[in-house]
Amino acid sequence: MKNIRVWYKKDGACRYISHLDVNRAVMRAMQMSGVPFWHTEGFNTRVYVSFSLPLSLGFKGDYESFDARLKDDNYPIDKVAEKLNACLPEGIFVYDVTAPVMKPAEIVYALFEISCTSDEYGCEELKAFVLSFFEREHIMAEKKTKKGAVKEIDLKENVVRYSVEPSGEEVKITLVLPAGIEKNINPMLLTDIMEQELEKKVCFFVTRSRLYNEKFEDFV
Amino acid sequence: MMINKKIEPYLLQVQKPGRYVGGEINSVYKNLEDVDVRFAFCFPDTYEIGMSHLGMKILYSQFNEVPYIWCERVFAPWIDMEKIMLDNNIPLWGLESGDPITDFEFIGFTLQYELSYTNILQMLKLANIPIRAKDRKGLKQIVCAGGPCACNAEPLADFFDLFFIGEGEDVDLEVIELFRKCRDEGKSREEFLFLCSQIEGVYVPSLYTAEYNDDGTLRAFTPNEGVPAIIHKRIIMDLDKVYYPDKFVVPLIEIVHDRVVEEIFRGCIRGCRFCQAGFLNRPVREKSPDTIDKQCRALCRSTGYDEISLSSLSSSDYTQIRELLDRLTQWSVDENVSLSLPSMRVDGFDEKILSKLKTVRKSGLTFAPEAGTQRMRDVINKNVTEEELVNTCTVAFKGGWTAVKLYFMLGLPTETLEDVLGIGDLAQTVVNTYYKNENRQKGKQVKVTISTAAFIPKPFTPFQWEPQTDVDTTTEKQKALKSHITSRKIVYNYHDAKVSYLEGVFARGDRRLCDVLEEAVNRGLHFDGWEACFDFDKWIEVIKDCGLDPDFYVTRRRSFDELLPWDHIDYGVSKRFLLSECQKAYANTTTPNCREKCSGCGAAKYGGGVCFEKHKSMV
Repeated sequence: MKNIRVWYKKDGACRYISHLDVNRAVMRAMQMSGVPFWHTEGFNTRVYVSFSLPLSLGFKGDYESFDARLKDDNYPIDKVAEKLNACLPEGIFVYDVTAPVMKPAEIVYALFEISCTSDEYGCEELKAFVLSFFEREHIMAEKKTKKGAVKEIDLKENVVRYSVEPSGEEVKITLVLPAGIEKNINPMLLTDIMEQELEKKVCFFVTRSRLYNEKFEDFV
Repeated sequence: MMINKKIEPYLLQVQKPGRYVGGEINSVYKNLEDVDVRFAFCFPDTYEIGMSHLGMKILYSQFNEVPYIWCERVFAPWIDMEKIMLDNNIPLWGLESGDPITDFEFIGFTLQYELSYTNILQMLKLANIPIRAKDRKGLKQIVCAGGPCACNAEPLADFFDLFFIGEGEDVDLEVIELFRKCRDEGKSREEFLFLCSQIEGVYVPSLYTAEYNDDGTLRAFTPNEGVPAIIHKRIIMDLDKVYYPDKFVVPLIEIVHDRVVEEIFRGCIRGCRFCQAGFLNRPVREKSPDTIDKQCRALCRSTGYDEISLSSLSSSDYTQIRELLDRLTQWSVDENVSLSLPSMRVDGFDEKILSKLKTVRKSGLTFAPEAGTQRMRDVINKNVTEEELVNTCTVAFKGGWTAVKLYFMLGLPTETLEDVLGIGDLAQTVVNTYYKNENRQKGKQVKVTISTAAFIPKPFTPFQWEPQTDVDTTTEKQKALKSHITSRKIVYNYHDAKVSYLEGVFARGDRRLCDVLEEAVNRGLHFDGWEACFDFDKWIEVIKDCGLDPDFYVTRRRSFDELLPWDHIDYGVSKRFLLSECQKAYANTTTPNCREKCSGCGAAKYGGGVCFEKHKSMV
């Protein structure tokens, strides 16, 4: 038995499906691929797969991964990506397969790149708004806890790093937020507030482009 | 793959945006330069419902195998997306190209359910296509439909250019080919439609005139000159040769039936008197185990599904069911693929079949006794006994099942209170059966779920003349049954009586209902099959405002000599046979199934299928 970590990008139509949908698409591809993946031995047996950190619906993902097991230790690992890609929908693309080094539980931060576009605002105007938004002392938002209660949190305290730059006709926000099993801040909490405050229509496209451990080392 | 660019900025504002983006495995993309005919295959309900439909999977693949046809899928946008489309002037688009379907050559709908009719009109409107056939000009926007409800499509007659009667695999392509020819020859829309009417299995409603008596019944139904008076259904006799896809589009989001569906036969030998599908699809024609096995393997390989549903109207009637299951389990177990057999009859079930069904995963068990007493089951010709149900449940409970679902109907012809309460008694008998099993798992409770639907008399069945029960009576029957059930191990679900009533209006409706449908859509009614959108009072108001009485269609008993709105369509079963079956129902007399004895329904004229099998009674 060999543990592997499969790295993929999520984009296109697959941006608009939920984590559970991605999970199913991946399991089906594994089933179809002919790669000797290990199946769980429970009452309802299924191919074993474990995602490092779920990605919200609507986000593009450049640094996504899941763990799986090969029944055959000698199966060539470089074949896995090719075989899976042949069976995955267009929007999910496997770009590497490695041996897992860190545990998914070690993930503490995520890097997001958010592109803001608008037909109605000029780039400078939009940039000025976004900058002033992030310079506020507090950015209060309501967040649902797992138990369903609503808790007010200060997003500003949780923004680990940020930068705002114009990029062509859009404004690009780069953002590091807490992520992982302990604490997770969804960047939509921030973009939703901006959307509400802006009078005219602005689109925010979010990409999660990196995951880090607590020392800001890449999750590998 | 193209996500519609106009819609992308709004995708995060709607529920399940995955419904609107396409991009699934096995969806077909073509180069527009190579395409001559664009076909929008429209399903008048949400993506999750439509993508579960087998007919669409078959025709989608079949059309797209023809190089010059590009068939795209179109679903009814849910009300949140519909609002965005209307507010921003975004026309309905095809999932594959992202292009508006407005100028497509063919706009095809499948008619599965009466309450989706309003969605059809709404979709045409969203696509900026004139909803009335007479307002569409030139050789494009040919709006057509097939499916079970095409057997009485009169309530939709003014909106459609043509209907396909019977099985579509051959006739659809003949019409598309004729269309190309007519376009090349510069023929008019009218000429094309006339030529269509000459093809067997094509019904062009505009070429017929309906006249009514003062009491609202049909007086005459007259074809134009040169147009056939009777439209005969199309049927495919050799199911081993008929087209079946080796790929299904695999949805990105979860749909209702998310699995491989393999059709094992068409038609049904049983002749249950309420069942429209059983009469429309006669005679029974089977696929060979060889073909089924091959097709299942190919589909599992191309989709990655780990479940196969063996589909038919009554799976246990497949003559070689054990051989088939043996064959499939030879490879399915190793590949972790599980099998399910929907539509199992209570009398067709044994330990051997059961053991094959749970080789990988255990699925639910559902049976449809349909009625609570033997007398009632004899009236509807269901031909199962309480003893058979008890035996079957005993087998299931011994096999480790602890939950059983049972389906019934309320409001069947000649039904009495005793028959209604009998449903509860039968469920209790099943509960008691569980506790008689000494090997039952300790500490586990049995759960018997019973569901009742209101009986809706359908065209082409022996009950087509029968009155349907009104809303109040159905509700009373539901209440009586509910209070009759005392065990907490029985869960009782029932369908809304008002929904069934409205279904009844359209099931046996006539052309005068076209105005009702148009007006209903104008007043914002659609997605009537969804609780969130169904508005009964508004519907009744629309029908009355159009000068019609809904009871005329629903609760009226038709006389046997009345000219029915669907009498010009021939599905192979004679009206004389339906009538004799109705009279046998009144006499509580059953009819043997097609394999026991031929009852001479008329379907033998197709020259194949069960009508020409060698039967025990003949040897």
